[in-house]
Amino acid sequence: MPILQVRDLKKVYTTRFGGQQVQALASVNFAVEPGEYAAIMGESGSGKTTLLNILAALDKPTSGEVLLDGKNIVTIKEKDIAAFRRDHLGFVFQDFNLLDTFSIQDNILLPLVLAGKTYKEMEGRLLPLAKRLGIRDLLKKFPYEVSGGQKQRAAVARALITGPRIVLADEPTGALDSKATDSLLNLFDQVNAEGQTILMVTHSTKAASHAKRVLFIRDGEVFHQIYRGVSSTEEMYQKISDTLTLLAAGGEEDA
Amino acid sequence: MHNAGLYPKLAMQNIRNNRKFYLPYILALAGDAAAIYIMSALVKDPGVKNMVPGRPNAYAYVSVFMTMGMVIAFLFAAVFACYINGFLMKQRKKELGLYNILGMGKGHIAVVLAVETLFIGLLGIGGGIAAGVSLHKLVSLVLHQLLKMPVPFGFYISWGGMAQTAALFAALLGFTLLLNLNRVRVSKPIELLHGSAAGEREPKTRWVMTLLGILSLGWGYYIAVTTRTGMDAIVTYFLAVGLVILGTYCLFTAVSIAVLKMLRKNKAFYYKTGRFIGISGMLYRMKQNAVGLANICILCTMVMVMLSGTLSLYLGTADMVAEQYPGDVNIAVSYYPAPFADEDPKEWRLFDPNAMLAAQTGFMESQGFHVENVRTSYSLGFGTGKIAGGVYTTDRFNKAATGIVMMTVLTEDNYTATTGESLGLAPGEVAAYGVEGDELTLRWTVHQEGTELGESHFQIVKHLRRNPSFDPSIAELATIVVADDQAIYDIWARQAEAYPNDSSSMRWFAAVDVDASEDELAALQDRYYDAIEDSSFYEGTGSWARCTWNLRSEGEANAYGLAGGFLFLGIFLGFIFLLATVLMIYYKQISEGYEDKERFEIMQKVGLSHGQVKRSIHSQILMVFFLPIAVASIHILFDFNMVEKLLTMFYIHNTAITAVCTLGTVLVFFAVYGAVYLLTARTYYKIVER
Repeated sequence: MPILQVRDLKKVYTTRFGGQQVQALASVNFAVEPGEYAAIMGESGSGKTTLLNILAALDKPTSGEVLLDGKNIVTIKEKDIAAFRRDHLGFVFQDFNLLDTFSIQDNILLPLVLAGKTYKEMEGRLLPLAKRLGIRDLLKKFPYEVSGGQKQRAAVARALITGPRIVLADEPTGALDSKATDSLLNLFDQVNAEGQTILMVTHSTKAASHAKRVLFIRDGEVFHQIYRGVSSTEEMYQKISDTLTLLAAGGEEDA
Repeated sequence: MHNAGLYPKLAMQNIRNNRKFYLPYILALAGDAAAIYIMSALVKDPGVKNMVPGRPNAYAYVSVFMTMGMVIAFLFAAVFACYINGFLMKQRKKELGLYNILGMGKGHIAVVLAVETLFIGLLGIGGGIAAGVSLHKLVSLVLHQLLKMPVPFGFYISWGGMAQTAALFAALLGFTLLLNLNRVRVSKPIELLHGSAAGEREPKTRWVMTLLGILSLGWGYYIAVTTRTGMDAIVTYFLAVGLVILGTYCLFTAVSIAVLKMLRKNKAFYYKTGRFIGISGMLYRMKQNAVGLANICILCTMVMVMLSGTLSLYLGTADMVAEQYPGDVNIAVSYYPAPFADEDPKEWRLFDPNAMLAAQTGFMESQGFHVENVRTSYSLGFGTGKIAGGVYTTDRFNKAATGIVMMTVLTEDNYTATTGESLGLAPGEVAAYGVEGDELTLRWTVHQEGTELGESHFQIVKHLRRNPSFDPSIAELATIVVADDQAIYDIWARQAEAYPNDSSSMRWFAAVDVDASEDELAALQDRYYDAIEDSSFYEGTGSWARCTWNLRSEGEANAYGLAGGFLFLGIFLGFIFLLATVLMIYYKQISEGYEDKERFEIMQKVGLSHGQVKRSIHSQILMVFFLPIAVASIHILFDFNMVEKLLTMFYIHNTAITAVCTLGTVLVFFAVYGAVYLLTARTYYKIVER
């Protein structure tokens, strides 16, 4: 059974003045299998962010369902959403979203503290994770004292520490230089190899080329997808670029 | 930028766009300008000057008080305008940076800033003077009411006051403009653009400051609590205030951070949802806001001390008048019950109170007034040094003495006449107030010379709970009631020996009520001064040193002139300080709001529910805003003793009134503060939850 199943997801925004309707998602259908590493690509305005917000239970769709382990997250009550998000989902954001009032360690522990875990258990989870992600020496530092790449590693640690069913990453390399980007993508590969399911939204071809499957969204629908199969990252990169070129050309034809 | 009309337009637009910041600033300027105009106009108002002909004292008080008030209000406005202006410029850094990048030179920005300041000045000063002119009459009515003076007629506009106010504030705004221009001149556009995004470091624990804070606060409190006399209070008041202010700054900047960090070190305590977010949030907030919160705390304390003190003084004045001036006419005579060495014993006659009373009342009756309700008493007061429980020496600066005590001696007759209580004292027995132990020892030692002249011992048969005699004094007070005249004269003789150059006299006091109006009494007093030119007036009264008349109406008018002036000033300045406090709270709410917005968005993304976020915001904001007033209330609690002692210098010693005034002031202040908090918190939530 897929971990995540999205069925006929539709989102229509009504503008505040004039009541004009804008369709962000027309009909999105896809599924993510356990242990999969999928990327969603699309241009600005294609509906990527709307889709991710709905998957993260930050926004409600107009119609359609999102099943996580067979449970429809669209119908979860408002008061349970925060706990649901904390226990089942992990997030990595473009701008890290670390709190400047907390040390790196406390930022990583935040979800566990919110879940009411004991300090002993927190420590038991934190140390091996920090070692795996190579940020053990940074734990006592504050966000303003470390580099962007290090911040994003801390954010990944925060996403992983609850042992989520799926990690949702929103443009995780968007604010990183190329060296830090490579390092983060290798980290994602490693984490995925250990069995973690990852769904990433990006418009970076390089980031997407690390995924096992890439879905392309255009005009609020899944337009195309490619599987990596046995191809190398470089071949995958080439396939994605070709598809994007095709998409861009097709887009102009449509217009 | 050749179009000159663009500058005013742009400046106007800037003020309008930033009205959330500028409107309160302009209102505060206007409020302060109005206050200064009113005070200036009251000094110049001919109606005030001629308030009561023949009572120049009252005008002198008003004039001094208002001038003092103006100086304080203006200094305050200056500090405050610089503070708010700095805050506004910090908020606008980005906007100014953008102008610069979009092609406006620094010169153009300077012109825009100058035009903005001009508009602010026109609105603030103009509005302030307009408000001042229209409120002047009302304030003047209140002032006359407080001073218990007849209300003047007519409406007065002081052009001089306007010019003075306008000039003062124009100078002030000009100064802030110069500060701003300098800020723009030295800045780089890219810095301006990133103005508010400077990284925040974690606060360090500063142990020296922490220790200094605890020590100075402790010392200040210790001084306040251990002050025993009004004179002590005057001498040490400013030291205590200084220490407490220093302590408050350290408390907010260093002690708070040290405590929070200690809490954070305790892992089992720290890693719990509420505390985790609360402690780290407070740590960050304290670093950002410590000085601002300490300022608010000190302002609150000042307002409360000022209001409760002046209110106690004013409300206690009625008691004080009744006590100091028990009769319509009060006659005091100083006399010595034995001749001095340089006097001729044959010429000398013992002072005869009955003859004196007869001479005085006879005079009043002869002027056609009916005298009734005659009360007389006499007492002796002299300084002593307190050695230890129940032992006092006349060599009061002796090293062994721990403090100076003013010893008042009454006879039982006098005590019974005022209290209605009979003590049945035998010779050698006393009833005492303010003396410890079962025995009173008066050690007669020549003052500042040291020759021992022996001791007097008295059995204390009763400890009095209330002081039967009250005199404001630079010293602690003790009162003993002795059996009879013989005993009091004996004590007088011993102290006269111990104080060869400055012995105390006996004091005889008569209070009489006269059936006459205030004006008639004043005329009567004038005629009395004429009558005593004739040496036969005092025939048969014996030998005495000095005789004075005090009219209650005169004493009352003077007392209210002073107390009313103080209260007026207290309310007036209290109003200005409150305005400042309100404004600081408002600006704090806004700046906190912008900073917290992002933080709470992140928390929500990582799994904090909306309700948790709201609760967390609420508790932190509540802490930040109620911490200053909570600390201020503790300051007030410790300050109470000192205020009480200071008030004794104004003959006020009614602890109950002072306590009620203080408590009332604190409660009212809490209510006003709470209301302001609720109003401004809405702005905060709007920013955070948008």
